[in-house]
Amino acid sequence: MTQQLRDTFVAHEHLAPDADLALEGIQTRIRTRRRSRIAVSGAVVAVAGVVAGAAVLLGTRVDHNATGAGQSPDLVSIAAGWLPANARLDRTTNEFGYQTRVYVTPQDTSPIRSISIGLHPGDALPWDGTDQPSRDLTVGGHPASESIVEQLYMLAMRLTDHQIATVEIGTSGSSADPAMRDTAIRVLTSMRFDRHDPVGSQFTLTYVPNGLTVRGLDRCYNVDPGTTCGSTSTTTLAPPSAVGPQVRGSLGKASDIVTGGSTVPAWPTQSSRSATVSASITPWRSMQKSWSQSPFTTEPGRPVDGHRTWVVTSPGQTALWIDNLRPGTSIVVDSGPGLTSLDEMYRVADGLHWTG
Amino acid sequence: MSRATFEEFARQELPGLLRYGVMLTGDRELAQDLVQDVMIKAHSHWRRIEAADHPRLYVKTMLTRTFISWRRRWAVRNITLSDDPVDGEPEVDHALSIVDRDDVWQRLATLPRQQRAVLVLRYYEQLTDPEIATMLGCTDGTVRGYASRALATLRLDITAELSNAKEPT
Repeated sequence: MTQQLRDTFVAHEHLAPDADLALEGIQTRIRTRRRSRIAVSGAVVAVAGVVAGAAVLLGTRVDHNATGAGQSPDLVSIAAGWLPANARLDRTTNEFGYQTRVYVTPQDTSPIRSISIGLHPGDALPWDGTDQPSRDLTVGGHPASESIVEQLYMLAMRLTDHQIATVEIGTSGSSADPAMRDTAIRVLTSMRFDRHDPVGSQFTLTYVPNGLTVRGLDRCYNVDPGTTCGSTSTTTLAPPSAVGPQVRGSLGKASDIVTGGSTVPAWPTQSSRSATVSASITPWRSMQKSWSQSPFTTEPGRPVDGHRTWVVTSPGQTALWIDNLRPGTSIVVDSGPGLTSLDEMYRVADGLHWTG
Repeated sequence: MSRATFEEFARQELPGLLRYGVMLTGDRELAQDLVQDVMIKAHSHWRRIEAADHPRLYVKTMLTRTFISWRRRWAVRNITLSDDPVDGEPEVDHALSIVDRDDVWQRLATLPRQQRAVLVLRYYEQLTDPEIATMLGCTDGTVRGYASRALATLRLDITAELSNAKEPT
């Protein structure tokens, strides 16, 4: 088996793109980026000064900015109306204006494994501009589009106020089954958009570094280590101007459940500075073993609220781990790919209030 | 100086990184996008990477993690389903013991990204489980779990292989 897999991989090495062309592409993109930065930086400074104003730059003020969908990230406006029997809420997210609620169903009673409802700003469907197959429909008088990819059935509907409502069904059976479309339409047409329900974060932050603000909250209710969620609560910090995950791509969380994929929030795509704060259920001793080896470095940090901490440096990011802030739950302040200093990360940790 | 060093690194390592990208994504264009994205990021952090003990390993780790969390074209083109057959008795399919490499390649495309990354790291890069765990930022047990589920999905049943191996040739 080992040899069979090895042979398979080696037999496909010829698919590798030409390295010289790839290098040319990299150099072009680096040059373009440099030019864009020079051209845009002046305008950004001017606009940011007017729009963001002093509140953003104060640093000590936590500003839960309204998202693109007009809803603060600590609230969601969507809720499911009709759902299949025994579906239970698994996750609520509002990141960069992309609201999602994920429901899971017992697998022994239905081929449906998960249903994700979502709302995001804009007019573009998730598969616009891609080669993902889709078909236009009309749902409740609204233009809609469906797409079936493997065992995911996805339905998106354009609302009148430049927003897109979505339903994504993960199934263990065939997603091309007409019953999936019927289910999705029933879920979509019974969705509510007038809620102001809290995401239900387990903590609040009283300090956010200069230039960043809370742009996203994510709450998992049923954490299954290594599969659906690694963290029960995640707060994403980013500049007010940062653009979140664009509509091209996964609608979000249901596909993560179906694939068993990573559910780490996508980083803001147009920000070089961002961070997350997560409540982790993974014990430090489990992580320590992995992180004790190169290219990670771990060093004891200073205590936070009487709890032990470690500073973990790994490729592209630094994390501050506060061990067992609550029994069985640690807090991880992660610099992401950004430039948030360790001092700022400590200040974020010091200002964290656990609300449960 | 540092730019020249980055270019030197890129010239030397790109062929290997692109091959690795193909093993992860299974697709020439996606591999190119992935590697280019990571190399641009590496260029921004080159001073830190240059100072690392093993810049190649550093960038490969960035590549692996980016692949796992990549949501753009990858997500829409390659959403797949794992049937989680790990709990059940894997079905022994002797036809698969002679399946050709293209079939295995197609089956690899159905795996979730972490599972595929583990197989690539184990069987292509020939890393140990602790090395893979380090690269993915998880535990050895998680790596074994991913590998086990991936192999079960591929129906490359270890028991069948062992029994085949015991048969006189």
